[in-house]
Amino acid sequence: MDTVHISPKRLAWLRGELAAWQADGLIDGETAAGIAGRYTENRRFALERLALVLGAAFLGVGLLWTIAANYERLSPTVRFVGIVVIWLVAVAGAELLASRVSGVLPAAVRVFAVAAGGGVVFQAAQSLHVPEGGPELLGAWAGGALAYAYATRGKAPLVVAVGLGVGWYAWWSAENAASHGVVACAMLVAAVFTTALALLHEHWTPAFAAVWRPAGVLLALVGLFIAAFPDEDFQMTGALLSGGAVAVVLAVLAAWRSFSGRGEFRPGGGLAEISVILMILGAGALLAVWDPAGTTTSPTGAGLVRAVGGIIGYVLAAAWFAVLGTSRRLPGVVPLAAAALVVFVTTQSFAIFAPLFSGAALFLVLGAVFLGTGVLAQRGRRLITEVSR
Amino acid sequence: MRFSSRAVQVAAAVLLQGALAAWAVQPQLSARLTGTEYRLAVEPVDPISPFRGAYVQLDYPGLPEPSLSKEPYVPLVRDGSLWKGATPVRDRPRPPYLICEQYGCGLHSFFTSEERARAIERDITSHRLAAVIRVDDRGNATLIRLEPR
Repeated sequence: MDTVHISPKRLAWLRGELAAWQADGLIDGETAAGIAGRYTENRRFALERLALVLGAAFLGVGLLWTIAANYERLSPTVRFVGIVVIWLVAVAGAELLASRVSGVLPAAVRVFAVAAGGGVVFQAAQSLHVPEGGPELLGAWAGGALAYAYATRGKAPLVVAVGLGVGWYAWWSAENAASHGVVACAMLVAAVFTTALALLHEHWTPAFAAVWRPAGVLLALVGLFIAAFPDEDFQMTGALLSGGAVAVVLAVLAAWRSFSGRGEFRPGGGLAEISVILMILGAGALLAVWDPAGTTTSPTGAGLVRAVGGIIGYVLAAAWFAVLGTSRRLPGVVPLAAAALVVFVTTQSFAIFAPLFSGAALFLVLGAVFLGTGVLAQRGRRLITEVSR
Repeated sequence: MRFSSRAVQVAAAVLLQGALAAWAVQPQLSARLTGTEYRLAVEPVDPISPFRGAYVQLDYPGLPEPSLSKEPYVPLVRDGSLWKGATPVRDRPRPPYLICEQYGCGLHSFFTSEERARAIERDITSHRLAAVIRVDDRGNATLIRLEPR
């Protein structure tokens, strides 16, 4: 019987599962060895995938750089026509490849096509001397990339498109918001929106859920991070309220879809995911509107309660995402949550303890805080993994 | 000849991408295609855009400072051989006029090679250049070229 070549990550997962099934008495040692023997590690596949995707990304960056170089020997019209031809050839080439081969090669060409689509936008703007300063060009690129990703059902172009979309949204909201509290709420509203989208995609195109979910986690953690800082100038806006309403409606739809699919509430299920992201939105909004008297150097009692509440809320949210990612093996979620926790704890610890301690004492306190966070995260992850088994 | 539904969807996405690119540059495109030319006095600044390369950041002494004003329409009036902006007004005036908002009147970036940008800066600093712009009947404006006054 031929062995199947799979990636090292997938093989490690399979071996872990086989050991667990054997321990639970579901299969015996001989069966486990038989199943494991059908699969072998294939590093070449991972290397090829890495090389192809990196190659496409480098080509894309090089193309955008060429536009930025603004070569005078070619007129703006020739440059624009050139980049449009490159873009259309990349789109057609990717479809031709996809109709003949499957796998990473068409995906790599599609990533390049997304970059070339951005090149068209930027070359048009350069030729017409569109002023610098606004997020519209990035928005046009992101919107086009999203449409292309859905038309091709391509996960790789969707990763780039969602990244561009999040970048555009952050820029747009920061530019239109009167204060950082509004930006925080805008990020949290978008987090609810993208989480609901991820859950809805689980029923239609599961591969896309794996892209939208980490975007939701990133937006939620960035939003909560910003909301932790007191905001004296917070003012609710119509755009924020209507965006929030749309996100909540979509969340209810996703929750209903998830519940009707399973018919039960599970700790790591879609209903729990939606409930938690709505709680995170509520907590972030509460922090954004709550501006107790006092300053950061001489806070009042209410100020301290707000600061501690912000820290606990953030740590709980990051821990939730970490255990969700662990228990459901969601790609990208655990590293995001871990990185966010480290950045947040470092920032907050310095803000709180730096005025109180100095030198060795500061490092001892920070070390104790990190250890405590690590122990709590580890225990929480184990607990959820046990419950979800 | 029949096309697969995937091919039709990709073609639609390509058309949408093209439409979004046109939408992003619509004011400048409209002015370039349908507008009339005017010459304005200019002053320099010097930045680089990560996606579009070197450009000369321009300031217009004859136009109002960028602001979130409730009077966004700036009528253009003659000033010798050049044109300049009159007092901004709330309601749309008779053409020619500019729409000037938070980021100015859409005329402050002139993209060119780094070498030429430096030469242009020298000329503008010594007040030797004028900006030729094109403005359509709805106040959309685009920068066409810089030329000797």
